[in-house]
Amino acid sequence: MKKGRFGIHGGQYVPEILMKAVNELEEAYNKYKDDPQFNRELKELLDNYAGRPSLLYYAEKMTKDLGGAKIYLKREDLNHTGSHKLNNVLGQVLLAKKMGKTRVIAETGAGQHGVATATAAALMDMECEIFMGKIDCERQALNVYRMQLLGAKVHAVESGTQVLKDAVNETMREWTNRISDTHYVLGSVMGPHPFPTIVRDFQSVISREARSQILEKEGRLPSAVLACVGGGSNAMGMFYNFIGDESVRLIGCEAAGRGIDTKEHAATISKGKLGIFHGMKSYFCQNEYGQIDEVYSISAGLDYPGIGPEHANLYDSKRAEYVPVTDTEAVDAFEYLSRTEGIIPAIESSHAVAHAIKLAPTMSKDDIIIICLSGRGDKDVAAIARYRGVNLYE
Amino acid sequence: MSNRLDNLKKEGILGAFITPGDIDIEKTEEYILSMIEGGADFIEIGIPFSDPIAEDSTIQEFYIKALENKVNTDTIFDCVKRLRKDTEVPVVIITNANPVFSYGIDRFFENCRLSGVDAIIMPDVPYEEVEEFKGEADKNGVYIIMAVAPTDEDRIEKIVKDAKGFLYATALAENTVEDMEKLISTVKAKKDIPVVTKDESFKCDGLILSNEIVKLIDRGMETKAISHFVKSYK
Repeated sequence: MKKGRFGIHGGQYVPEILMKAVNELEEAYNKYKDDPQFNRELKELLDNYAGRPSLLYYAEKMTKDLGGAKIYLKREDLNHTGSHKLNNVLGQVLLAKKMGKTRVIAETGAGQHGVATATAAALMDMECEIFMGKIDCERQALNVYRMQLLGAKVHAVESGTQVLKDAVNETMREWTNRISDTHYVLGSVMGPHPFPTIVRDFQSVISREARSQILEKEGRLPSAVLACVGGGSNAMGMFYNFIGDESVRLIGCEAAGRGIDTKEHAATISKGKLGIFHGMKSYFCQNEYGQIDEVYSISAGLDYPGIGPEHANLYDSKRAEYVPVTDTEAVDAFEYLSRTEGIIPAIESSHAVAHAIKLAPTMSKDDIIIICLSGRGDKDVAAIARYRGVNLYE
Repeated sequence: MSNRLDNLKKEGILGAFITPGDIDIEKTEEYILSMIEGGADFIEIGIPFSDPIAEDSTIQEFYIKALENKVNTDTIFDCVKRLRKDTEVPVVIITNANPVFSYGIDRFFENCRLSGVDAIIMPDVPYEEVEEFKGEADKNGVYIIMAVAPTDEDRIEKIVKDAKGFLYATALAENTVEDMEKLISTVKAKKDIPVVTKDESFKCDGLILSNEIVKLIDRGMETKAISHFVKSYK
C-alpha cells in the first residue's frame, strides 16, 4: 500500500510549499510515537490533566426504557474541556513542542477542537490562533469567548460558506505563511497524511479503554459500537481497537440535517462521491463538476462535506456501517438522554444516541451497545432552546 | 506530439491569468485576446473551484462568482476551443485536483487535447500524487506543470527530472529572496527549463500576472486598458 493510504483513500494532496511541513511532521511522529519518554509525558497529561480513563457508564434507565440491548456510554464528555477533542490535542501539542514549534493554529467547527487546542496551548506555553467560520462563531459564541479567555486569538472566517470547511481552508492558507515555528493541530482524522494516522492514534485511547472496561464489566465484547461522524475522529477512536473483533458492528452516525432527500444535510457516505479535497482522497458531498457542496447540519461539529479516509475505507470494505440521522432525531435524543440519564450530550453525540434509540429495541437483552458520548451538551443548550422556540434571557 | 509550450521563450516570459468571475464567457475571451495583444506569452485560465486552498481568498471570490454565473469545466473547454480559431498562444489550465478527478481523468485530458489546452497546473497535486494523472496527460500530449518550492535538493531534483513546459516557483511567506535564488539555481543546475512565478520580487525566467488582472477586470477596466497593462510588464 502506498504511503498514507487506506485502500484507495488518503494520500497527500497539498501544495508543494506544504510538503516540507507534512514530511517533517511525519518524521517527528515516527520518532516520538514509540518513544517511552514522550509516551510517559502524554500519559501523565491524559491521566492527570484530561482526567482519563473516561468512565464506561451503564445507562440502566435507558436500557430498561428501550427494552433491548444493554447500553453503555463511553463518557468522553467528562474529559477536561468537555469532549474527546483534548485526547488528540494533547498529543499533537506535545509533539509540536518536541519539534521546537512555538505556535499552534487550528480550525474549529462547533468550537470544541478550538477550545481544546487553546487549552493545551495555554498549558504548554504556545501561541495559539484559531480559525472558525463566521456563522459558527455566531452559533457557538460562548466557545469563542472561552478560547479568548484561554489566550487564543480567534479569527472569524468570512470566505466561502463561513463554516467548518472554510475554517479548514483558512487554516491551511495560514500554514503556508509560516511553517518554521507553527504546527497545524488538525482536529479530525482527515487532511493529508500523516494527519489521519496521527489523530486516529491519539484518539484510539477511547476504544483501548472501552474494550478493556467492557471485558472487565461484562466479560464479553459488545455487539455494536456507535459514534457520530463528521470528519470522524471520535468514531475512529471508538472503532479502532474493535476493528479486529469481527463480531462487533461498527456504526457511524452521519448528520442527515433536514433529511438526505433534501439538499440540507452533511451525510457524506450516504450521498457523497469519491473525490480529492482538503489533502485527501475520500468521499465528499459535491456536484457533477467536483465543486464541494454547501452542507448543513444543526450540529456545527458535523457540518462538514467530507469524511476521513480510514472511514471511507472501512465503508468500502464493509467493516463499518454508516447511517444518516436527522436534526429532529438528534434533538429528540438530546432531550431524551438529558431526561432519562441526567446527562446532557453534545448535539453531535446526540446523533449516535438517536441511532441507539432505534437500534437497541431491535436487539436482544444479551446484546451490548457502546455509544461514544463524544462531548457534553452545555454549548448546545441555547441552540436547542431556539430550535424548540424557547426564549432564553441573559 | 507537439506542444505549444515547447516554443515558449527561455526568459522574459509573461503569463496572464484570468477566470471569468462576474464577466460572461464571451467577454472573458475578449479579455484573453487583449492580454495576448499586450504580449502575454501564455494564458493561464482558472477553472473555478469552490475551495481553492492553494489560492488566496481574492481568487476564491472570483471562482465563487464564476460558479454562481454557471461557469463550469465544459464552459472553459468551449472557451479555449473558440480561442483556438484566433490564436496559437499556449493555454494553461489551473484548477484543483477535484474538478479534474471528478470529471474523469481520461475525459478531462482528452478534452484538453480536443479543445487546445496545452498544460495544466493542479496546485494541490504534489510530486507524490501526480502519477495517477500522468498517464492520461501524456497520452493526450498535455503537460502537467509542477510547482517547486525551497525544500531539500533531492526533492527538487526529483521534480525537475520529469518537468515539462516550465516550472512554477512557489514560496512560503517566510521564504526570503535568497531562498528563492537558491531554489532557482538548484533547478537550473539540473535542467534548462524556464521557471516562472507570481511574485515580482523573485528574479526568474517569467512572471504570471494573476490577482492584478482579475482585480482590474472586476473594477471594470476595458480590454484595451488590460492590453496596455500587460504590455507595461514587457
